[in-house]
Amino acid sequence: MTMRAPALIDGHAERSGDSALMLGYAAGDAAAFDALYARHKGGVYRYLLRHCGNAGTADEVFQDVWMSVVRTRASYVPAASFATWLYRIAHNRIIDHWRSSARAQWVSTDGDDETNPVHSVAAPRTDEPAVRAESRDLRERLFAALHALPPLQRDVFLLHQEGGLTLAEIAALTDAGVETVKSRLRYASGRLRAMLGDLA
Amino acid sequence: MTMPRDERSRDPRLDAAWQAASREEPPTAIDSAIRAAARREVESGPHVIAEAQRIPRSRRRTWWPLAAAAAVAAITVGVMQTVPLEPNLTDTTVGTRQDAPLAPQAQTAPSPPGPMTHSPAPAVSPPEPPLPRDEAGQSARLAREPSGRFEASTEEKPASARPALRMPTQVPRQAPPRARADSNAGRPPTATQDSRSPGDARGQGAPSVMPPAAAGRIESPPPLKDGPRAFATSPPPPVVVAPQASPLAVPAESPDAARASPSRSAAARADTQADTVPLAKSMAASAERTPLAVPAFDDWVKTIQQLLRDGHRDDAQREIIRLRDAYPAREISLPPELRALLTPR
Repeated sequence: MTMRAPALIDGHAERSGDSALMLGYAAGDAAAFDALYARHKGGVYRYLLRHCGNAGTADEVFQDVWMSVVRTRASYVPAASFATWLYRIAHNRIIDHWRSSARAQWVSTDGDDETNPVHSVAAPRTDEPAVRAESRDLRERLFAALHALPPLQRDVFLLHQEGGLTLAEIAALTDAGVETVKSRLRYASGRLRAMLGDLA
Repeated sequence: MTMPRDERSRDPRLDAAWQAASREEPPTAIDSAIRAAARREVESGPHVIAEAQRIPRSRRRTWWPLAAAAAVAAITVGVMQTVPLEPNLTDTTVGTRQDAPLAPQAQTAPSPPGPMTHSPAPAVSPPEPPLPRDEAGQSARLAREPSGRFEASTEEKPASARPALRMPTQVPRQAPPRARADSNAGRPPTATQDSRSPGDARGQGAPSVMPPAAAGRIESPPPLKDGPRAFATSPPPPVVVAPQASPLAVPAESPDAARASPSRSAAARADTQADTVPLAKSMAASAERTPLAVPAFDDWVKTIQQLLRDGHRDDAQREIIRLRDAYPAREISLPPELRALLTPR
């Protein structure tokens, strides 16, 4: 089992440490960047990978996100937590990626409507019957369930689970209300729990 | 309202399943590339100074006003050492400066005939004899000077030089004596005497009843040498008294006009006198210093008669010419033996 960075799971003290590291890097301390990168690289990468469903695209966007961090280090202001700032960049890059690939998947689908057009979006490869038949393990089913989620719900779930952001931070990041974010997260968790219940 | 993340009904089973399933890490190559790029940006890119290490903007620019003040002071000292000081600046000097461009213009611009000018004089009078080389050069130099720098100079000058430079200032104010002085081309004693004792000069009728024919006489011998240098090389003096001679000049009164209206208003006269007082005092002072002061008419006649009696005919002839030039209106009252000394005009 992979140990997650504790800062991403819990503890605001680590986030203030993130800000100090980022300021140190902006002042020219390369080691501070290494520490920041070690803390957040896994979460950001998985966040991107779950959205893209494609390792190659995820690698490309991942590099773009961190190079943005490097380029904009001088303009960083620790007004919010570093994680919020970092995942905002990642969130925007994902949106840009979807726009550039003409795959309009950022559709607001807060309801649980089966007639929602999001459900007609092509499923990832793991949802194909042949693959599903091959791997039947938890991992594949979990990710399949995740990709079956509406994008906004999936985004909220990933920001919460991989980024360790609070509901308020996610609301600020996605320009949505806290209650809306809470609702999206509830829907996403319920679906995944249902999938896990089926497995159990 | 922010809901703490722990308040959410977390499902430990879901969390554990998710953490077990989602374990991907970025490739090592990408890790290395990003770290190298970050390090390279820090080392080779523009060094970003930390906020705490930055010098406050106000402290960085505190030396600017001091530097500006020092530069201004240095420039001021340099200019002050370059430009000569101008002591004893009086209103007459200012007047000379204002009229300075008049001299070159007077040399070249012909004056249209009009009631304000003595136009007959140049027509009948012979051309002005050339000045000595040094005098001509000085006259040209004076004419070239754009301002009254010569006035400001503290070095001693010929007594007639200052009235010469001030002449254009006096054109509109003392038109009759001015016109005669100009037409006589270098007889400052006349103007000096007029300004020093106007009553005496008026009593002898020198300025106001001067015939036009006498106005253009310039054949005075040595005294001409110290005449108004500004006009020494210029064409006939009426150019100077013409109102078109300079835009700065107030229309001058001709002798005829002065005769026609001898009684100016008291206010205007007072104003004129008030304006000319500094100049008159200056000219009077210079006349006292110069040996060219014109004696009284009767005394001068007696002196000439004495010269004749002593056998100094040449001196007497020279003096009678000077006397006639100084008092042209009184030529008719000269004794016959003295009138015989005058060369025919």
